[in-house]
Amino acid sequence: MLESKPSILVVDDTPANLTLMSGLLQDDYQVRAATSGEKALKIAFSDNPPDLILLDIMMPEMDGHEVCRRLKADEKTREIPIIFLTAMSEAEDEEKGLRLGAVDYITKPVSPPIALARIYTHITMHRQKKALVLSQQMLAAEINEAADYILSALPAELNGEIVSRWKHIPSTALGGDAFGYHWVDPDHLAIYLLDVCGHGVGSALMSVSAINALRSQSLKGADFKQPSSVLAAINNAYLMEDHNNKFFTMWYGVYDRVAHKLTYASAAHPPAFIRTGDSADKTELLELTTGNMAIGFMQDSSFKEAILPLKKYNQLTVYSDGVYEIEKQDGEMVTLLEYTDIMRKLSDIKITHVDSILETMKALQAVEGPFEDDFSLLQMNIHRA
Amino acid sequence: MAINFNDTDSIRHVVIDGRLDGPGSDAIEIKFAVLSKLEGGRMVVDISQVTFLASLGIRLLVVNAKNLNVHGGRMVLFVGDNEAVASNLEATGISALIPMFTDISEANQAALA
Repeated sequence: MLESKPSILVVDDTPANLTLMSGLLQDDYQVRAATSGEKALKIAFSDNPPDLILLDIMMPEMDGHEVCRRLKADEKTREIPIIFLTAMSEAEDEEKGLRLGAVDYITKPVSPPIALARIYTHITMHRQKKALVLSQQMLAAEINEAADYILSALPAELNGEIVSRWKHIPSTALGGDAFGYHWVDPDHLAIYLLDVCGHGVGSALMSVSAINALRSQSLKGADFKQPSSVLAAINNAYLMEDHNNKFFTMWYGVYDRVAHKLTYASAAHPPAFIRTGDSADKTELLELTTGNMAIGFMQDSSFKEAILPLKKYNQLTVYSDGVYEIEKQDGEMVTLLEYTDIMRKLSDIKITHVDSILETMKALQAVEGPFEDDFSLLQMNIHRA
Repeated sequence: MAINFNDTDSIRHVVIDGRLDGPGSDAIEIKFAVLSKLEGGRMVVDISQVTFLASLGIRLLVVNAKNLNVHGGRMVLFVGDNEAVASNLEATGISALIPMFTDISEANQAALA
């Protein structure tokens, strides 16, 4: 059963035909009538368009085909289903009408049961389609709102003593990567990036939950200036058995501005890079990894950390594996070794390279379009005057 | 993506072939879960022909290995000379949960141990 009376616009230049169709439809539909193509267009483009149009083909001045063409050309009216009314002798026009976008044909003289059945079918389909589109729009709006929330959880870029730049491109509307940095106290800057397995709503929820736990420093038992302690605490808080069997990889570092050193720990995460040197012209690229187990695999796991004394010039790059796990034109995936070579060539330590890395990886991709995995790249220059 | 198995000498050998990424994991998820439902069973999972191993593939291996452990069984991985997959797995620290071997006879022995 239809929820309310749908409206049908009957267009025919013969008043007797309008009377006939109105009589047939009035019990189930709100019927409006137009005796010309121009009048039909005026009603269709009004603020109260019909749910379906029954359109005679043979009319003076503007025939049914032209009316149909104009309605289908306009975004406002193109979704209104049109059924042509035609005499048997005009059956050869059927193909043309369907090509113009009509959904059906009813031949004259009209058979009331067949006409009513066809009209009911198309009205129902039209209403279902409208409901589906509305539902999709609402869902898309909710997902966009969630995506905006995740973006809002990502950090503002730093400028000054420490310069940071980043790129975050989810492979779907919602990704499983998140990252951030914050001052634990005036002398210690925590820097972190995590990558939840998979993409989509579930992974995004977990990543934003974990990043908020880090940002708000609300992990039980964690010393946020000690990376191994943070990984141990977050591991116990996000055991995969308790989180829909999802796990994540993670890199966490703490820059001590007084001691000018970086303490870091990684959990199954690709190594961060640091380009470091006492002269801007003479630097080396180091890989920062401590090779621990992924977060959530096993309760009460212990995590190793390492310390790197920094030099005058330092450029830290933390990223997710989606930055380099890209299928090339030869069908092979870019390897970590190849990505390391790309990073090795970016030797200008006075600028950041997130834009050029993104462009390089895009150029390597076999096909244009979104990356297969979430792309998260964070670069930070920590130079001493 | 393909998954096949045969049962010999008290060991279930499961062979996974192709890209073990999101779609690949979805394709074999149910069959792999059914094959891993072995009360006290011993299982060697041959991933030597896996061409790409993504995080969702790792998740599939870990979840089923844990389920098998809970039921008194044991899963080991055979990677053969597939260095890309082996290094990927080593980076996740998975070997603490699922022992990994390049030699099939060592994998069989470990499964039965």
